[in-house]
Amino acid sequence: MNKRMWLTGIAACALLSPLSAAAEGGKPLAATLETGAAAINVQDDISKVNEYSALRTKNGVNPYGKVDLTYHKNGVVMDTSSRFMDSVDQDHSLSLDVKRVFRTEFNYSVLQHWLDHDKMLYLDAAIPPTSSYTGSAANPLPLTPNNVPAFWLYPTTGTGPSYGGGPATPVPPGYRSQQIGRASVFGEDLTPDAVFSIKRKEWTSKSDLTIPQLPNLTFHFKYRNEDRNGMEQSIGMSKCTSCHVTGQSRGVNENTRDLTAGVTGRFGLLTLDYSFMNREFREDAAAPTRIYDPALSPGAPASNYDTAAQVFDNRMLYDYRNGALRFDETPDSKKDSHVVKAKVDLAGDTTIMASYVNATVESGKTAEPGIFSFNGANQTRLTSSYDAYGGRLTSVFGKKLTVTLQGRAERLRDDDVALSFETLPIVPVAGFGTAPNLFTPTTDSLNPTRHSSVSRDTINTGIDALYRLAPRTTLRLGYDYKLTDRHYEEFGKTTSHTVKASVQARPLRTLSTRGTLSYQSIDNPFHNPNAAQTPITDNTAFTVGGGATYGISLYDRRTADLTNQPDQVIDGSISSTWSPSASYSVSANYRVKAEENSLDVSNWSQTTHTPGLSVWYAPGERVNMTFAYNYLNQGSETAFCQGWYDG
Amino acid sequence: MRHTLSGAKIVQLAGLCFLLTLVGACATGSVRERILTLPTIEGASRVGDKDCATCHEKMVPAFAKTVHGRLADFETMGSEKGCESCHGPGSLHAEAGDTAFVFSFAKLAPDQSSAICLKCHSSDSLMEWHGNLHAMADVACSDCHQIHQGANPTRKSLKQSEPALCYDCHQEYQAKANFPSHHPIKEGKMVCTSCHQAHGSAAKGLLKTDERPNDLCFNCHARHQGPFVFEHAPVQEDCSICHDPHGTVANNLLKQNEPFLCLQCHESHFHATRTGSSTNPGNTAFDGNTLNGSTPAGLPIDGTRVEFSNSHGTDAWAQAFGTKCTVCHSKVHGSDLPSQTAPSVNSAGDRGWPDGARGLTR
Repeated sequence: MNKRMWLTGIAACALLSPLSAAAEGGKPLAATLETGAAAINVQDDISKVNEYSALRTKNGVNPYGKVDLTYHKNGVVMDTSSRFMDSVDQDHSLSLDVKRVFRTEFNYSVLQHWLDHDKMLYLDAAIPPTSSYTGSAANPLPLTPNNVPAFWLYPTTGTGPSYGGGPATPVPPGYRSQQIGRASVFGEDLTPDAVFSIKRKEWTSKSDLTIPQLPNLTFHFKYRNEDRNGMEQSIGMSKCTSCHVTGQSRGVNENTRDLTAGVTGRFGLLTLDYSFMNREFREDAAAPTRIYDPALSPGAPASNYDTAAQVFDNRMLYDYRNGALRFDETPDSKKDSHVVKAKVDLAGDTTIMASYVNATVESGKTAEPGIFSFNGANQTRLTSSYDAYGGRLTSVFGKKLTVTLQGRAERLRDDDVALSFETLPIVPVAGFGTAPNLFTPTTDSLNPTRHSSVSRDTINTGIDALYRLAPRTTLRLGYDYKLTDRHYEEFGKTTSHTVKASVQARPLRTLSTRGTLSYQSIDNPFHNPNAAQTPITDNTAFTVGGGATYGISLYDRRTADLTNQPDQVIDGSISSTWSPSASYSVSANYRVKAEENSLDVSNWSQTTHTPGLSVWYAPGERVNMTFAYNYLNQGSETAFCQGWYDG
Repeated sequence: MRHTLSGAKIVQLAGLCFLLTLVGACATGSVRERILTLPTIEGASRVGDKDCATCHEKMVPAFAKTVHGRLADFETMGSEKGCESCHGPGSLHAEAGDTAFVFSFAKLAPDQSSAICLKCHSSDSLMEWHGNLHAMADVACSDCHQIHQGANPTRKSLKQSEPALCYDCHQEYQAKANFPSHHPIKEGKMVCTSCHQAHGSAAKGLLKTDERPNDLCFNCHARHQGPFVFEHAPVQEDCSICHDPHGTVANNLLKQNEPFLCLQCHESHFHATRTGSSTNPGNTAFDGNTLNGSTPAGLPIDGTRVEFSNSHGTDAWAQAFGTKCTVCHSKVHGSDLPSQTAPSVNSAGDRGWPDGARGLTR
C-alpha cells in the first residue's frame, strides 16, 4: 500500500433551510428544528485527513438532524438540544432550572477517533551473517556492507589500518577486536487489514442546589463517565541480535469515572469553596501478550544465547522460555483530590485569595515472578501525592494602579521503587571464559532503585502591575520567579525569571491595539544530562576493560546535555483590531518568539513567526462570516555530535 | 484546670454557626453593595423595572427570560435585582432621558464594569478573577458576555459561541486548531474552555486545573496518569515538552515529527549510522510467537523463522532507526513492565547497561 496518505475526498454539507418552529414570546414552549444532509468521501487513510470524522464515518450521503427545545413556565426552565450526525457523532444536552433552587445539566457526546495504522514498512535492514565473510584473520579483507565479519579489528598502537577479521582468535598483536556481527531489524504487521479507531462516549452532569433558607450555601455535584472502546495497534519487539518488531491489534475498553461534590459559601465579603473529587480509571481490556523471540548470537547465527557457542552472554530478562508475557499494559488508577479556596473582598478594591490543594493518585502494580519484582513483593501499588498552597493579593491604588502579588508552593512526591531483576540463566561464553565473566551483572546492578522524576518542590511568585495611562490606554509590567527543586539529582534545580511588559491602547473608538514583550531567563532548564557524544578523533582511546565490548565504551563518551527547553526566551506580539461598525471588523496580529539554550557542549534554538489577518462580517443578525489567514513559520536547530560507531 | 467541651456545648456551638450562616445569608448581598467600590450616579434613586419598560419595551420582557431576569429573591441575599442592579439607579435617566445618567457597560472602564458583575459573581470560577491574566489585560466581563441576548441566547450569555469568541483575540490558536493534528475543536467536540478557565486560574495559561498542567491532560488521557514503575522523565515534567495541545503539523500533537523531536534530547541509535547491505543477506530470526511456547527450555529452537529481506538496501539502517523511535520505544509515556535487556554492570563496573529494563519498549 502506498505510504503516502492523501486526501482525494471532499466533505460536503448540504443544509436545507432550517425549519423553525419557535414559539411566540408568551408561550412556554419553543422549538427549533434543523435538518439536512451531509456527504463525505474519504479515500486511503481517514486517520490522516479526517481524524475525528467531522461529518460522519462512512462514505456516502446521510441525513442529519438537530433539535432544540425550550420550556419555560412558572419558574421552571428546561432546555434540550440534540444533534445527530451519525451513531458515532452525536451530542445531546439537557438543562433544568427549578426556580433557581435546583439547577442541573446533562450532556452526552459521542466521538469517533481514527487511529494510525503503522505498517512498519521502513523496518527491514540486515547485515549478512558472518558465514558470508570470505576473509580471515590471516587474510583479512576490507570491511564492506556486503562483507561483514563477526569482528572488527582496529589498531591499539600506531596508526595501522583497521580491517575485518574472522571470529577466530588470537587477535593479531597491536589490534583489538570489536564485535560487529550479524544484525537485523524486521517489522511485521500481523494485522495488515485492521482499521484502528476509538469510540469515545462521555456522559457528564453538573448540579447545583441552593436551599432558599440557606441562600449563601450552594452545594455542587458533578458526575463524569467516559468510555473509550475500540481497537488500537500494539507494537512489541524482541531484540538481540535480530530485532523483530511486530504490530498487532489490541482491544481498548477504558473507563474514567469522576465524582465531584462540593459546597460554596458566601458570607458577606468572604467566599469559601470546597470540592472533593474521586476518580477511578479502569482498563478492562486484557493486555496483549507476546512470546519474545530467542535472542540470537551475532557471531554464530544458528545458535542462541542459551548455548555455549554464543559470543555474547545473554543479559536478557526474558525470552521465549518465559512463555507469553503481557505487554503494552495500561494501568488502572484511582485519584482523590481536595480543593479549598477562600477569598476576601475588602474595601478599597483589595482582594485576598488563598487556596490549598491535596491530590493523591494510586495505581496497582503486578510484578512478574522470575523476571522482576519491586518493593519486596510481587504485588504492590505506587502512590503519587500533590500538595499546593497558593495565595494572591490584588489591590488598587489611586484608581489608576492595580497591583497583584501572588505565590504558590507545590510539593510532589512519588514513591521510589526498589527493583529486583532476575536474568535468564547466564550461560558460559566460549570466548570469555565461564560465568561469572566480564559481562556478568553484579547483584547491585540487578537491584537498582528507581528514583521518581516527579518528586519535587516548586515555588512560584510574581508581581503584576497595571497602570492606566489614559482612559483607554494601559501599561502592564510584571515579574515572575519560579524555582523547581527536583529530588532526582540528575535533573537538579531549575530557576526562571520572567519580566513582561504590555501596552494596550484604544486611540480611536474604532481602533484598538496591543503590544506585549516578555523576556525569560532560565537557569538549568530541564534537560537530558550526558545525552550525546562530544567530538573525539581518537577511535581507540575509549575502549573499556580487557577487550572488545559493545557500544558501552562509547556510551561513556556521552557528556553533552540535550534538551528542547530554552534558557532564554524572547516573546513579542502586536495586534490591532479596526471595527468601523458593529457588523464589520478587521484584525491583524504578529507574534515572534525566539528561544535558545546553550548547555554543556550542545546548542538548541527555535524561532517562531506567526502573522495573521482576519476579517469578520455580519450582514444580518443570523449570519456572520470570518475570513482568516494565519501563517506559522517555525525553525528549530539542535546541534550536537553524533557518534559514528558500530555496536 | 482542664476544660472539655460537653455534648451540650457542642450542640450550642453548632447552633451558633448555623445562626451566623443564616445572618450571613441575609446580609451577604447588601454588605457587598455597601463595602465594595462600585461606580455611582450622584443624586439618582431607584425607580424599578416597570419604569424602564415604558421606554425599553422590547428589552425588558426579553430580559425577564434570561438567567439574570429569573433570579430568585433569595439569591441576591439582600441586594437589589433587576435593571438597576447593573445599570445603576435610574431616576435621573428616566427624567432626563440622558444616557449619561445610567451605567452603559460599553462606556465604563473595564475594571468599573467588571466590578458591577463581581458584586454578585464572587464564587465558583470568579473567585480567581482578581489579578488573573484577563483582568490584568484590562479585559472586562462585557467584552465576552452579553447579558441582553436575542432570540437565540448563547451558552453562558457569551457574545459569540466558542471558539469564535476566543479567536477574536487569540488568532494564533485559530490557525493551530486547523493544523493536521488537533484536538476536536473544529469538530465541535471541545471548546477552549474545556481546558482553559477564562475567569482565572492558579495554573499558568489560565488552565482549568488546580493542580499541575499535566493533571489537566490526565482528565481525558487518564491512561497516562500513572504513576509508573518505569518513567520517562519529560512526561513527568510537563506534557508540553513534546506536545502542543493547540495543534501541530506532526501527528499526535507532537511539536515535531519523530525522530527529530526525540533527537532534541537523545542521541540517535547507533544503528542509524550504519550502511546496510546492498544484497539480500538472507538472515532469519526465530519467531517466538509461532512457537506457541512449546519449545522446551534450554533446547535449540527449530521453529518457524522469519526471513529478513533487507529490501531497502544500503539505506535500510538509516530508514529503520531514523524514522520512528516509538515503533520500538512504544511505551514512551511510561510502563510498568521492564524492557528485555537486564540492567547490568559487571563487577569491575566498566561494562554493562545500568539503564537496562528502562527502555520503555514493553
